[in-house]
Amino acid sequence: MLLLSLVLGCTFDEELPQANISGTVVIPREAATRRILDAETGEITEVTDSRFIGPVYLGAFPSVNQLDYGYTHPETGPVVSADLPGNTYPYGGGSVGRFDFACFDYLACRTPSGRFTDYDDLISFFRDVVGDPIQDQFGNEVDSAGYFQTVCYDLFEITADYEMEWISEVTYEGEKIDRLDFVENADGDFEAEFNMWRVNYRQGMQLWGWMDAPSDMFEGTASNRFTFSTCDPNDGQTNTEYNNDIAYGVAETDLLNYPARYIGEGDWVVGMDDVFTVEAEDAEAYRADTPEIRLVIGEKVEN
Amino acid sequence: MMFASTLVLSLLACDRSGEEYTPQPVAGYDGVLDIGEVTPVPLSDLATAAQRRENTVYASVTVPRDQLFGGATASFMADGGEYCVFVDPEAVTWNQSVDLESPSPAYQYADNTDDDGDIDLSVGLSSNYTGTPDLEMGDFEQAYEDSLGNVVTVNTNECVFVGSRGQNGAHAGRATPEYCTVDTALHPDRRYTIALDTWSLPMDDDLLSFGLIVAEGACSDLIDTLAVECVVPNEACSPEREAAGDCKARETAFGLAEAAYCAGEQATFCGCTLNPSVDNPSCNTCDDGGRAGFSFDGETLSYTTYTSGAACDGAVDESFSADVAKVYHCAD
Repeated sequence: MLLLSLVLGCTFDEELPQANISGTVVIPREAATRRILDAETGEITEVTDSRFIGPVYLGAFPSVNQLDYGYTHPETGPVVSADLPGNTYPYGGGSVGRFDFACFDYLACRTPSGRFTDYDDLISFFRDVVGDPIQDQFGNEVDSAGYFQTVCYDLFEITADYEMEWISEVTYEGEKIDRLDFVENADGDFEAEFNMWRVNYRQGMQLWGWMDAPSDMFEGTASNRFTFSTCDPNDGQTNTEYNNDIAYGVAETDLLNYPARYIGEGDWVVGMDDVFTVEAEDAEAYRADTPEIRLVIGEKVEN
Repeated sequence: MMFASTLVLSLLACDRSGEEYTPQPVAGYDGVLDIGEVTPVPLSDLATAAQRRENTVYASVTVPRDQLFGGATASFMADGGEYCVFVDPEAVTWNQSVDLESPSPAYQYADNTDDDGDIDLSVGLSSNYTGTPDLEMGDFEQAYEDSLGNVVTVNTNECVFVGSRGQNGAHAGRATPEYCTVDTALHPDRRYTIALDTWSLPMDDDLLSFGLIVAEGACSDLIDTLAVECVVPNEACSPEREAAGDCKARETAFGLAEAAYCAGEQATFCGCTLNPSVDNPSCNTCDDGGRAGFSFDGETLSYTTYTSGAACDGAVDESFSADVAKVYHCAD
C-alpha cells in the first residue's frame, strides 16, 4: 500500500499555471567597456571588464514595443497619475545579480552580487578603475583585505566569506565555489544563466529586460561614480548598533512595473529583434518542451 | 430550583438588545452623503483661521442604512493644475502623556477619545468612480485587460498614502487629517470625485463631523506654516451650527482647545501636573491659582484659575461654564 502511494505520488501532476523560465542572457562587449581615467597621467583608456556589468533585470510581459519610449519597452496599462508612467503588469521576472551590502557605507548600492571575486578585487577596482578608493566610517582608505574582512565579520556577525553574496569566489566546506555570473564567450561578449521563478504563464508573453549600467567612471564627483539608478542607497536594512548609522541600500521595488522610471542614457535593453516570445499553449506544455532561450541585451539607450 | 433559575436568567437576558454597543443612526443625518460640487479655493484665501473657517465645507454623516459602507462624496472641476484635498475628521488625537514623573508639556491635555471619528480620503476621476453619490459609496478600481487578455484591477485613486513601512493604501488613524495633492495635468477640464469613507464614528454621539478643503495648489504650501490639525478650525461644529447656538458644549470646548493648541498655548494653560479631567484621577490635583481653563475673545486667549474644591464630577456644572477645559472632559 505504501509502495503504491509512493508510486502514485511520483506521477501526480500539480498542473501549476506558473512556469520556471530559464535561459542565457548575453551582454555585448561594448556594454562591458568603459573609459577610465588615470588620475596621475590624465590619460583616458578604454577597458573591457565584466565588473562593469550592472544588475540585469528580466521579466515576462504581455508584449514589447517601441511606441512609448525611445527604446524597446513593455506595453503599459493606463497612466493613472501625472507622476507615474503606466504599469507594465509583468507576469513575473528575475535578475542576474542583486545589490549586496559590502560592509562599508561607502559601498551601499555599488556592489552587485556576482561581479567581484573577493576583498582585494573590490579594493583594487574602486581604487584603480573607478578612481574612488573605498573609505571606512572614519574616512580612512580601506586598503587591506584583512581589515575589510574584520569589519564585515564584525558587522554581520559572521564567520565565513561565503555568507556574503557579493564575494563570488568562496570556499564552502573545503570546496571552492565560483559565484561569478558572467563569463566571456567566443564572440568576446559576456553571458550568464538566468532564472525567472514561477512566472504566471501566458501563451504569447514576451521576455524582455535591461542592464542598469553604472554611472560614468570619471565625470562628476568621485562618490557619484559607479552608482546605479535602480538602487536607493538611503533605504533598505539599517544598522544603528553602537555608533553605526548605516543604510545598506536596496533595489527599488517596482523595477519591472515601471522600467522607464529607472532606465536612462547608457543603459542597455533587449532590442525588438531579440525579444523572445513564449509559444507553448500553457505552462504544462512549456514544461514538457522547454525552449532554449537566449536573450541578448543589445540595444543601447541613447539620450 | 434549577428550572426557576434558568427561567429568571433567560428573562433577564431578553432584557438587553446590545444596541448600545453598536452605532445607531442619528435622525436628520445621512449615512451616505453627497456634498455636491466644491469650488477650489486659492491658497491666499486660506491664510488665517477665520478664512479657513469660512472656506471649509463642514458636514456630518451617521450610520449608513442596510449595513452599507458609509461616507460622503464631493466633486470639483480641475483645470490641469495641482489641487490640495484636505479632510479633517473630528476631533483631535494628541497622545496624553502618561509619564507621571516627567510628563511631556506638549501633551498634558487629556484626550477625550469618545469624540473622535475616522474618515478615509481618496480622489480620482469621476468617470472612474464606482459608487453612486448620495446612495452608495464606491471606489476607483477599474478592470484593465492587457494585450493577451489578462485582466488586472487598476486602482485609479490618485490620493495614495504610503504607510510607515512603505506600503501603499495606508490611511491616517483616528481623528487625524488626511490630505494629498492631486496633479490634474493628465486630465484637464475633467471632474474629480472626492470619496470620504467612514472608518469609525465617534462613540459619544454616532455622528461623524468633518471639515473638507479643496485648495488650488499643493498641500505642502497649505501646511507650510501650520500643524495639520490647525488647517480646519473646529471641524466638530460648523459655523452655521455655531451661529444658531447648536454646538454641543464639548464641541465648543474642543474648538477652543484646538485653537489653544494652534496658538501654542495649550501646554501652558494649566499649571497642574496633569490637567483636570473627569477621566483622570488627578482631576483635583491642581494647585490653587493654577490655570485650569481658558477662553477666547476673538484672537485673545484668557485663562481662568483653579479654585480649591471645584471638582469636576462628570456632570456639566453651570459654575464651570467659563472653565471649558473641564466642561470638555465632562459628560456632554
